Amino acid sequence: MNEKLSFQSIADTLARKSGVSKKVSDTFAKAFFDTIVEALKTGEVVKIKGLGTFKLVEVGDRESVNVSTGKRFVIPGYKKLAFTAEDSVVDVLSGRTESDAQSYTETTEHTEIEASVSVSEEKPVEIEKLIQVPEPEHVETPQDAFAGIDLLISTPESVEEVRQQYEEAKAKMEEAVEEARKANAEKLRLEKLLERLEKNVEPEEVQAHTENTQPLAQQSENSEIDDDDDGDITYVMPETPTEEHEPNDETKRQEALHRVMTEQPKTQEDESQEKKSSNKRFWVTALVVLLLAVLGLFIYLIHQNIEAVENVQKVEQPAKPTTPAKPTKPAKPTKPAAPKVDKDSLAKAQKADSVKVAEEKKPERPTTHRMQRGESLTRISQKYYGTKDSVRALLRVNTFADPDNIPVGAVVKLP
Amino acid sequence: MTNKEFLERISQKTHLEMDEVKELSSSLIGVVLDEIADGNSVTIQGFGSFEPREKASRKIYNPTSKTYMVVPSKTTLSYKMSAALKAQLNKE
Repeated sequence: MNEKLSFQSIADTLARKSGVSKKVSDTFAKAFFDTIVEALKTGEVVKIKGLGTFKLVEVGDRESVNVSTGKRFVIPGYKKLAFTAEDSVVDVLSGRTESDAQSYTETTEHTEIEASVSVSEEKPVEIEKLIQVPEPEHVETPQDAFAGIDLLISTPESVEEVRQQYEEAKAKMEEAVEEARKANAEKLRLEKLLERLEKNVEPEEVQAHTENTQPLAQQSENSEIDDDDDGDITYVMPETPTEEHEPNDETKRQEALHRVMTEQPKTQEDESQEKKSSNKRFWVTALVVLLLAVLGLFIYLIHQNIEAVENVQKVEQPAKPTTPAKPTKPAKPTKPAAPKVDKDSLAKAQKADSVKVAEEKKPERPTTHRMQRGESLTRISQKYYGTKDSVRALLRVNTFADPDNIPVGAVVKLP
Repeated sequence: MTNKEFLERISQKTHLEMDEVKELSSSLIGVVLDEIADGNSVTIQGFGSFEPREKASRKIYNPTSKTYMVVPSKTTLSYKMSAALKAQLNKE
């Protein structure tokens, strides 16, 4: 216990245990550690199975104060070798096997009152937390809708995705509602027509009337069901923001319309007057269907236009940097061709050249950076300037609500 | 660098077979860990020293579930680079 063992004693025990000569074990052990150092010098991270990870970490310059004199001085930065032991090593040294570790977490889960939640318990908590996130954004939707939310939501990105889908679904739902309104107006009109027709019919044909009214009731039921479907959509859509439901309802409605179209001529076959009106109805429904088709086409075309415009912009952007470079090219050949040219033109050419140089340098370091997951200002500073000290410069140029927690996707200006 | 690449480099240096290198490296780690588990510290000249370090158990608070959790005490392997290595690495 508490002995200090040297390299030699380790090499000796290694020779004894593995049955090789002392010379071999010695050279091997030396090569072992030398290789680690060599790899570290080339900036690599050395991961050794069964032991742990060696990694070079840079410590930046820092300022300190001499306590006795009160003077400030700089402690120069240096590289330090960080080592992280493997989990298995920790388990072995702590004197517990894997099953021990597991039984521990289980017992603590059930017995200890004020504590110790195992890893398995943390997961549902995370999910709960994530589900809570979208709540304030979706205030308009009924609370019950959240019962159906897919537990797939596990990252903020997916939350955004769902939000997008929700937005899309909402737009579609509004469209559907409008269509339903149209259909409703249509239904009312048809009912009025039927009433008028009923009035025209002679009192002798009472039986025919009853026959007529029954299908009419059916028809109105149909359209009512249709309306109900639409009413449901408003609640269903936020719950399941998939696009599959939408077309289903549309087809349902169209089917219902077709039924209306096909049923009515049947019921009023006897009366010649009604044929005209049913013809009218047919045309109106055909118009509505046509309108819908045109609307769909419009949306599709607009989408394509937008894409095309984006493509054009993309093409234009890379083209721009080349235009300022052009004027400098003709400026160059004038120098050797006409050595008598006044100083002004020479200065101009030089200026143009320097501008060109500046433009060439810029693209090497982008002027903005989009934050990614797990990135911090310190890391950005390290990446673009090679030192952690530029964080203050970054903070001067940028304004953040919370510099310690910048949202993913935020654009950081690089001075 | 992965474990395999590491062992390959050792094999090139010592002119030993890969199988031998594999065996020797695992037994070398075993020897070092045995000593550490016994509470000894192992110093390798020009590289650094390994020693066991006890980490006390501590309570942590989970703000989302509002519960306290106990992280059990454990012993980890700590490493400290030697002054010679530090000088070597900071030379450039």
